[in-house]
Amino acid sequence: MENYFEWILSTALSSWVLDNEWVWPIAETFHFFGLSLLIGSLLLIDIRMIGWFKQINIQAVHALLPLVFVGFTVNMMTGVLFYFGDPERYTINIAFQMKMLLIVLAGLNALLYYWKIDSVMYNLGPHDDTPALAKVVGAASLIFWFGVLMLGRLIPYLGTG
Amino acid sequence: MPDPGVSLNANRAISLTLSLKINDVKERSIKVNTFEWLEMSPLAEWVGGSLIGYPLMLTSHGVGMSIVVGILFVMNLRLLGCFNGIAFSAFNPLLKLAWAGFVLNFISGCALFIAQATVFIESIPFLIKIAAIFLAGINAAFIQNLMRQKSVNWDAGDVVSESVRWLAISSLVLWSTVIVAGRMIAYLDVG
Repeated sequence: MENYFEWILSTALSSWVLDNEWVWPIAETFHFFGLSLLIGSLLLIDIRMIGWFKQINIQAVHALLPLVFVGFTVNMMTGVLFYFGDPERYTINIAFQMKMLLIVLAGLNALLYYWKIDSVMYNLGPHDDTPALAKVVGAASLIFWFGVLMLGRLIPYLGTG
Repeated sequence: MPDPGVSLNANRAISLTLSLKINDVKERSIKVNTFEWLEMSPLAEWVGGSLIGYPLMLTSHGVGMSIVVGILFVMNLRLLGCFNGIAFSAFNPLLKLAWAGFVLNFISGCALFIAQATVFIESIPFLIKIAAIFLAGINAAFIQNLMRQKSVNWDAGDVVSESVRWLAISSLVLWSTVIVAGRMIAYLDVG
């Protein structure tokens, strides 16, 4: 573990984050934009998948997916900056560990969507109700991503070692 | 020989300045006391002093932000011509959800504010953030009103007017200002 931290802290990326005091606040600001994009557009997709707000055309919410990916990419990139700027603190932080776990679960949930539901969704009418599995996947996605948001916010408050 | 009139005037001026200064100090101390009093309220002590108060409010503030800014972001992009498949009228119920997020953030924001009222009230980024929220809230109410009246016509093919597009652009700019200024509070505050 010590070698691992030493390696991270010896990288150019880590020095860049640590040597420039503006990197952290600017990255944090982008992280907030990214999370608003990611969760805001997922919120629309997921509540329609759950079957609420049927006046939203279910075929049209697909168009929001690029926004979700933009938000996710921005947050993954800025998240890597934070991690490289303070690897020892994040790695052992329970809120950070649970946040990463939830991101993985959210990813698996998305895979489940593409594997089982995506093709079914294309056959639905614009304002039809959704199948039960779609409701479960939509609800799980909301729970996972809001969990990610909340755990991220709790990193400074939940136990570090 | 000195002119007694001048020195009398000078004395008056000095005493006037002095009394102004004393008033200034008095006013300031009253101002500070109001915010100090807020900081000593039971709610502020719970938020600032208990184990869960501050993180709970901060977390709620993040959840509310993603709801308000997320929904408004998508709606504004829709008004600017993106995601053509989504009906304008579909945003009317979503705007109610956005206002629910706004209320959540107003409450959690007040709780966070009173916990450190004397620090926040002197923080420039905080004041910019509040001004931007005020304008963004008025802007959102305007857009919501227009959506109620015109979304059905827009869905039927009416063109979204340029003034509405400018409202959408200013909404994007104002909420971005809220996020940036909010983030900067921790880095630029005077406390």
